[in-house]
Amino acid sequence: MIGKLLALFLLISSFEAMADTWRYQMRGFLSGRLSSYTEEKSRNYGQRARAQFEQATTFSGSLEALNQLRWTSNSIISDLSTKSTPSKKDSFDTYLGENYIKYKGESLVVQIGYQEVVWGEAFGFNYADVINPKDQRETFFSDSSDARLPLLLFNGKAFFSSGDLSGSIQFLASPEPRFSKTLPVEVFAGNLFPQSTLTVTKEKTPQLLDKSEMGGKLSASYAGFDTSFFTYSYFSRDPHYTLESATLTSIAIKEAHTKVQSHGLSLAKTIYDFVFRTDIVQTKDKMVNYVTAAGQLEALPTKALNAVVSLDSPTYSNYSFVLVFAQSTLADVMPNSFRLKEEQYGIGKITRALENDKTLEFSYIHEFKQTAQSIQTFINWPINSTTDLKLGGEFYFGSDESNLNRFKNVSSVFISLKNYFQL
Amino acid sequence: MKIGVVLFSLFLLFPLASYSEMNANDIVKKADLKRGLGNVTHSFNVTVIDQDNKKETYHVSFQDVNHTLSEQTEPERARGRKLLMRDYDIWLFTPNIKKALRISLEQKLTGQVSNGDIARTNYAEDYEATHLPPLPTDTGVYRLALKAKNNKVTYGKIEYVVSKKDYSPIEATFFALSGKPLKRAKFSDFKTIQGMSRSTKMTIQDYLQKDKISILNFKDHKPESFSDSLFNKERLEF
Repeated sequence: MIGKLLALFLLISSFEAMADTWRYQMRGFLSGRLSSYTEEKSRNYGQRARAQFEQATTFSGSLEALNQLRWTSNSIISDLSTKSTPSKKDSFDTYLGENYIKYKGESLVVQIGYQEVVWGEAFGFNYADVINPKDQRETFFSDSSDARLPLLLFNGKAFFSSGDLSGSIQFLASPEPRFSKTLPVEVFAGNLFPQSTLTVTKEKTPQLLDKSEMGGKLSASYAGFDTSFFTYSYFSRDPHYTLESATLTSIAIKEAHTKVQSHGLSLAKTIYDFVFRTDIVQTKDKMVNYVTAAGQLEALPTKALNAVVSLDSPTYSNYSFVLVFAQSTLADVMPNSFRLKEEQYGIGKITRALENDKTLEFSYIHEFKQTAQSIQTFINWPINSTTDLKLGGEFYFGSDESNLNRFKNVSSVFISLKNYFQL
Repeated sequence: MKIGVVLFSLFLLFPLASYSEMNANDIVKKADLKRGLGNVTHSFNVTVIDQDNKKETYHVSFQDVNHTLSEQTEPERARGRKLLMRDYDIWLFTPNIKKALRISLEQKLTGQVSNGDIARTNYAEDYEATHLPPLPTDTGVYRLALKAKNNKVTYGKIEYVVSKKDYSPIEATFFALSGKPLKRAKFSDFKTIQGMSRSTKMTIQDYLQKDKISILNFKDHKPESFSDSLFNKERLEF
């Protein structure tokens, strides 16, 4: 009898102990954005709605899980197209967001599942953010978390520290590469295809364990410096294209993604109250399409060297600013290429803190080689503890060959609402 | 008789002499102990309420004065934001950016509160203290000038008022490195925590715009040990 009571007591005690550490939360957000386009004559309004539901479970002090479901309705893609392509329609996507289980030890963390991993120090141009595919329909000014798509990963990170030195070694492996959601090919090809109708066959995502990706990062912080070296071997997130068929009036092309390897270095350093950041990334075997003199569609493997430097200011009388310079260079480029050999950008951003946590932000991007500009300005207004209102506009203009001008059809004024909830 | 008068005078003057010789840095060290558990490993929660009744909460893991991790738990839009301080280095992690970013101590956290107000509160470590002449209104207080030991700290100078009776902090005025007055803080709501009377409320007011106020309420102090890796920048994403 005493034995049974003792067993019952131990059982109840263990439930109590579990209840101390077991935590479950359901939360998420709903957001909507209505845009009035200033360039698109045939269609003046666009919308984007987004929802994310998230379950976060803590099983114990060292074991946690996260499950996310995301839904997006997007009409931006239609506004970038200028030709009659099958992709010119609104899109509705429902997909699993981050879904992983995480073990947190004293000096080691292992996270397995669909997740987002971000490398690099700089802003504006996230050249070091090579791991996750992106939804490229999001523009320069979108929140990067809106554009990032989860990738199935084994993510292991071990931490070390000795005196003033601290750092980590990270290992990543993906058994299921995924590709970015790309913009219509004509955005890059411009007028290189004379045909009026263009059909693109998408490449399917490789099956689980069929192909793999792998890489790692070594990071250290010492004497006010943060630095990391990284390498990642992966399937190019952006496709190149091969010709399937062509007539005088129509052309059919097919997507292909080949393996590339990126190596990089990131640095950040506080100088007085300013923060200097830089990312330098070299990518090998990047395929860049071009059209030959005979009108054939070809692709050339080349090296890309991307670098970005930025400087963040502290806040002076409610004002703060960020300056960014970015350059992307290809080693070899053929005539009639889908990309320029060299791209250079300068970005200036000023933020002013207003009353009641409101912020006013103004950003300017200048493209140097093929002169083009973009500006964005908005006011962010937290109207209560759970809802943010954003009012603003983003505009792109410049020469036809420039990159920024490719986005001119998303020039718009917008209003958006985002509501955060916890159930 | 004369000797008696001299001895009596010395007896009267001796306590005054001992007051004036009380080292200003020692006073700051004692006052620091009234604003936290001192340099022992512990955790606590901070609630920040501004003049519009907007509320933010943080859970703070404090290993020592040079190793602090704050995680925001309210409001929902900012849940999961983490602020790590290691010596004079400070990093911010936000769930949407998903990487730890180096920032400066001076950058505003919320309302009138700078990162350093939560993450680096031990003045004795960062400032060299000297006595200031008392104001005519001062009674029973030390008035101290705290000058930054280097330009990495949150403020250039602090004027600090500490009770002579028990070294409780009463008021502080914060100045930028340029010498410009930024804000004023009052310390109140002293409660017995871990066997000692400590301030649990800090009211920060903008120096020029007096209606801009942030109230920090400190609670749930408890001794707790942490692994070193908790204060590693590379761990913030987890």
